[in-house]
Amino acid sequence: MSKKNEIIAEIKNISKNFGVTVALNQVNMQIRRGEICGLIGENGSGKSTVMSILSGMQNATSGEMFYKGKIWKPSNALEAARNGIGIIVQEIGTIPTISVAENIFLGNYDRFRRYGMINRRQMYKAAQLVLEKLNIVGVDASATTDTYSIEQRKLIEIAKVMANNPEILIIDETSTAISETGRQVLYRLMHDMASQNKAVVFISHDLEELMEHCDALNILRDGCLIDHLEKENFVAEDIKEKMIGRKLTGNYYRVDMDGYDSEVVLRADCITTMEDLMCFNLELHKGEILGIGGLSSCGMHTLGKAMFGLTEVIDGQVVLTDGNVVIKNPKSAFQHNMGYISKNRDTESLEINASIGSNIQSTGFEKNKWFGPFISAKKEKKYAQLMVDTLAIKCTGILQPVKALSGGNKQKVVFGKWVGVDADILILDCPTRGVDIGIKSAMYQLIYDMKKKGKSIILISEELPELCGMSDRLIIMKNGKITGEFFRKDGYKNTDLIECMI
Amino acid sequence: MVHWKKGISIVIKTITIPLLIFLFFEILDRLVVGMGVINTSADIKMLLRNLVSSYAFALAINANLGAGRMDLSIGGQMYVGVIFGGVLAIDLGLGGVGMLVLAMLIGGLCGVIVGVLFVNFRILPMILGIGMTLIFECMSFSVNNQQGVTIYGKEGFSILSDSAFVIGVIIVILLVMTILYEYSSFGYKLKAIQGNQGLAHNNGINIYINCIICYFVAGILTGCAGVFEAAFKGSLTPVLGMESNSVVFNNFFPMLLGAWIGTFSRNQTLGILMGSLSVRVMIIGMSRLRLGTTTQNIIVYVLLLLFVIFNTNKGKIAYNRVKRKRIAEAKRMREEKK
Amino acid sequence: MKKIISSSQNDRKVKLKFNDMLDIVKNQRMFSLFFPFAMLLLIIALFSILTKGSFCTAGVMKSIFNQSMIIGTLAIGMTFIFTTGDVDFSAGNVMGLAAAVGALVYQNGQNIVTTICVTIVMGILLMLCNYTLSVVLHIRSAMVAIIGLTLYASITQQIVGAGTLRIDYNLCRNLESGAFRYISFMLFFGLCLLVYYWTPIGRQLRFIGGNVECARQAGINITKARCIGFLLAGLGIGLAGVYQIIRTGSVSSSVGNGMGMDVMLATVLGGMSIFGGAKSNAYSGFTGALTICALNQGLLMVGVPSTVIQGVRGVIFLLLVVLNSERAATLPSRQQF
Repeated sequence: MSKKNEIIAEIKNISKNFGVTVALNQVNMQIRRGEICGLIGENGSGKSTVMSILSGMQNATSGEMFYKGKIWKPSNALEAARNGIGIIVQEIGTIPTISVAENIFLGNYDRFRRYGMINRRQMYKAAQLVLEKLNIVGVDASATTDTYSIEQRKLIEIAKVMANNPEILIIDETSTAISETGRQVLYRLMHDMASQNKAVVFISHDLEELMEHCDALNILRDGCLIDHLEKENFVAEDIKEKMIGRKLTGNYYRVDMDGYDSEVVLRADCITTMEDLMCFNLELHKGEILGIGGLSSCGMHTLGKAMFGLTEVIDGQVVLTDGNVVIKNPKSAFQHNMGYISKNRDTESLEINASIGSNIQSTGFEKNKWFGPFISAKKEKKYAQLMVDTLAIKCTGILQPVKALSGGNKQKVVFGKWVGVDADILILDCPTRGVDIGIKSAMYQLIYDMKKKGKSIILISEELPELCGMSDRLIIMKNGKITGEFFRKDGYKNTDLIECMI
Repeated sequence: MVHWKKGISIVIKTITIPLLIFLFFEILDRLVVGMGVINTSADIKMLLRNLVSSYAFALAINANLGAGRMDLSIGGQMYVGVIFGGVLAIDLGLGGVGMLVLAMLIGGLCGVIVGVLFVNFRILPMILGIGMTLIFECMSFSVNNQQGVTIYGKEGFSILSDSAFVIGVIIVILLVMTILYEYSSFGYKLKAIQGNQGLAHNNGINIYINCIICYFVAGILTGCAGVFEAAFKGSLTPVLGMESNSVVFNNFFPMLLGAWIGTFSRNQTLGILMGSLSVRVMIIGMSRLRLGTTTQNIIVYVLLLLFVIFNTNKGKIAYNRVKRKRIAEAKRMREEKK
Repeated sequence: MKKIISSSQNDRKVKLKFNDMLDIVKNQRMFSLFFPFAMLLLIIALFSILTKGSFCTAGVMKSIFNQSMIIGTLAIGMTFIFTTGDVDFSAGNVMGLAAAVGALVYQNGQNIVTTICVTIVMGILLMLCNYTLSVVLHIRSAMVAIIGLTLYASITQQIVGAGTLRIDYNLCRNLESGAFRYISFMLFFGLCLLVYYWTPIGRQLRFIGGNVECARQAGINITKARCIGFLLAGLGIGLAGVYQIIRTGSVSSSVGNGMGMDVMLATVLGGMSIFGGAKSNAYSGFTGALTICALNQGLLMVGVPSTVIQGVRGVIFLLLVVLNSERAATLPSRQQF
C-alpha cells in the first residue's frame, strides 16, 4: 500500500520563538517512508525543537505540518504517539518505581483488562515479546525498573515507544547515552523500520554514525535549515563546514591575544564525585578564562558544581592556593570570594518570585552592613541600583519581581549578584543559554572586563563558538575525563575539538 | 522451586513484625503480671474491633499519602459520615449494616467533594485538608442537636460488635483494596503517578480522575472506620477546633509501619493490616502492664519517631556503600597515576 | 472549522487577560502589604454596622486584642518557620508542654519569675528538638509536626494528670492586668521585626523559602539561618505559654490543643503564603490573629452560633489561600506536603 519514498510527513515554514530568542526560523523538511533521515547541527541549532514540535511536545509559533496527507496539529505527545509518531528523548522517560512491563505499556493498561482486572501475566508476556523483538537481552519485563542501569532503562524506553507501533520513529541523541551493544540494538531497529517502509528521524552529534546509517541528512544552524543532502553527496568535511560555518562579525567575542598569569588560584586535586568525575585534575590561573566544553553528559556541569562545593567531593579536594583553603561547601566557596552561575537559571540561580533587588542583594549582606548584625536599607538599595545601572538591566525598578523579566535580563540579574560582590573566581555554567544576541555580546564584554581586572573565570559551555571566542585555554571533556587541551595562542580548530568530544 | 522459596520468605518477612511484637509482650506480660496478651474471647473481640477501625483508617490515610498528598480532613469526613449515616440509619431503622453502608457512602461523598476541590484549586493538600476539616466539623454539629449519634443499646446495632462480622469486614476490605490497588487499571495508573506524576500525565493517564478516586476511596474507608469506632465507644460526639485531626495522627503509626512491611510482599493493603495488627497488639500488651493511656501514647509515639528517623535515613546506608566503593576506586587510580 | 478555532483562541485570550489582571493586582507589592489590614478594617466596619456601633467600642476592641495575644505571639514566632516553607503545626502543643512544665515548677514551690523563665526556656528547647528532627535528621516538617504534636500532648497529659495545675489566682490577675504582658509582647514583637527586616537572617529565611537551591548557591548558611528561626519561634512559644498560664491561672491537660492549626489559619489570613518565600511578613500572623478574633467576636455578637462560626472561618480561609497561591500546572504533591 505505502510506497517507498512516499512523503509521510512534511514540515512547512515552521518557526518557533522563546520570548525574544528565535529557536526555529522558517524550517522546511520532508520525511519519507523507508528512509532514515539524519538531523545534525550544533547545540541550540534547533534540531531537537523541530522534532519535538512534530511529536506534539511543543507548539510551533507559526507554520504548518502535514502527516499522511492531512494537516497535523497534535495537542500533546500522547496524541502523536497514538497516531504513530514515536519519539525517544534525551531525558529519562521511564518511571523507576514500577515494573518494566508497566513502563512499556504506560497509559495503555486497559488493553490487558479482563473482568475489570489487569492480567498481569499477559502484560509481562506481551512486554517480554516486545523486548525480544528488539533483541534487548537481559531485561526481565516483570522486574522493577530501577534494578536496571540508566542505559538499560533507555532501551526499555525504546521498547515503550515501539510498543505503540510507530510509523515515524524519532531518536533524539539517544545513542550518546548508551554503549556499543545498546547502539547495535538501536541501529538494527532503525534499519528494520526503514525496510518495513516506515520512517526514521535520527538526531545525533556523531557525524560518523549519521553518515553510516542515514539515507539523507538535514543540516540545521541557528534555527535555519542550511542544506539537505542525499547519501551519495555525503562528504564529512563539507558537512562539518556547513554545520559550524558561522562567521564571526565585529568584536562579538574578544579579539585580543592577552595571556594570563602563571599563578594558580584554584586547583582540583584528583577529585572524585559520586557521578561522572573520577580522580580529576584541573588548574585555574589568575586572570584566565578557562573554557570547558563537551557534550552535555560529559561531566563538565558536575565539575563546575564540584569546584564550588555544591556537589560532594568524596575523594581528593578543591583547593584555593591563596591560604590553602579547601572548598568543602558553597558556604566556604562564597566566603572566599568565589561565585557560581548555574545553567538552570530559573530553578537554581534566581528566586524568581522575589524582586530584582533582593536577588542582587542576596550575596551582598556583608557589604551592606550598617553596624553589628544590622543591614542598612539605604546602602542595600544603592547597591542594587548600581548593579541595575551598570549592567543596564531593563526593568521598572529594583522592586520588580524577577519573573517578569526576559531571559537575557534575568541572566543579567544573576551576573549582578556576583559582579556586585566582586567575586575573584567565577564559575559560569552555560551563562548565555537562552539569551538573545544583543545581551550575549554584552555578557562577553563583561566576562572580558572581569578577566582584565585579574579575575579568574571557568566558562563551561555547550557552544563551541563561544568557547573558542572567549577562552584563553580550552579543555574538552568526554565521559568525565579530559580528552583534549588547547591554547588560544595556537588557535582553535573546530574539527580537532569535535574529534575530542565524540 | 525458587518461586516456592521466595513465597515462603515473603510470608515470613510479612508476619515477622507483628509476631515479634506479640511474642515480646506475651513474655513480658507473663513475667510481670503473670498473664498473656490475649486471654479471653473478650480480649479477641476488643482487639478485632480496634483493629478494623485502625486498619480502615490507616488505609484511608495511605490512599492519598502514597501519592504525596496528606489529607487532614479525613477525620472530619469520618464524623460527617458516621453522624449523618448513623442518624439516618436509626431514623429509618436500618440497623448496623445499614449504618455502615450509609456512613461509607456519605464519607465517600465528602471525599469526592474534597477531591474535586483539590483538582480545581490545586493548593497544598494539607492546607485544603485543614480548611475542609473546619467545615466538616461544623457540618457534623448541625444534625441531631449537636449530640452526634448514640448506638449503644439500640436494636440491630449489636452486629457491629460481632467478632465474625468484624472479621468478615476485615477480609472484605483486604480483598477489595488488594484488587483495587494491585489488579485494577486504577491501581496501575496510581503506581505510575506515584513514580512520576508529570511523565504519567504525558503518557495519557488522567491524573485528575485518579486523584478524585483516591479521595473517594479514602472517604469510604474513613466512614467504615468511624462506624466501628462508634460501635466500640457506644456513641460518637462531634468535636470542634481541629480535634478530629487527632484520629488521623493516631493512625499514622500503623500506616507508616504497614507501608514498610508492605514493601516485602509488594502489597500495601496486606502490609497495613500487619502494621495495624502490630500496633494494636502492642497497645493491648502495654495495657496488660497497667500502664496508663498517656504512658502508652508516649511509648507509641517515641517508637513512631524512631521508626520515622530510620525510614527517612535508610537510603543513606546504600548511598554510603556506593560511596565507599567509589572512594576505594579513586584511591586505586590515584596510586596508579603516581 | 476555522471559525471554531478562531473563537476558541479568542476565549483563551479573554481568559488570559483576566488571569493577567488578577496577577497584576496580586503582584502589586502594596497589595500583599495592605490586604490583611484592609481585611481587618473591613471586618470591623462591617460588624460595626451590623451591631449598630456596639462592636466598635473600646471594651470590645480591648477584648479582641487580649484574645488574639496568645495566638498572635505564637504566630509571630512561627512566621520564622513558615517563611522557609516548613509547615509546622505543632506550636500549640509545644506551648502546652512548656506551660505545663512551668506550672509544675511553680507547684513545686518556686516563685513566678522562675516559672516564667522555665516556660520560655522549655519553649526554646522543644523547638530546638523540632529543629534537630527536621533540619538535621531530614524528616519532613509536616511529619515532625504530627509526631511532635501528639507526643507533646501525651507528655502534657502525663504531667498534668486528671486535674489542673493551679497558679495563685491573684498573682496571675495582677500580671495580666499589669504592664508585664504588653511590655514583653512589644519587646518580642520588636525583636522579631528587627531580625526579620534589618538583619541578614530575615532576608536569608525568605530566600530559603523561595528557592532553597538558589540560597545554597548564593553561599547562604542555611542551617544557621533556620536554627535562629527555630530559636525565635521557641521564644515566641515560651512567651505565649506564659500568657496562657497567667490568663487562666491554671494549666489543664488539653492546653494548646488545636492551637497549632489556629496559628496556621491566622498566618494565612494575615496575607502570607503558606509556601513562605518573598512575600512573607513578620506581622502577618498577628494581623491574622486579630482578624480571626474580630471575626469570631463579631459573628457572636450578631448572633451566629459558635459552631457555625468555625465553618465560616474554614470557607474564608480556603478562599484566601486560593486567591493567594499560584495555580500549579499539574497537581501539587510529594516534596511539598
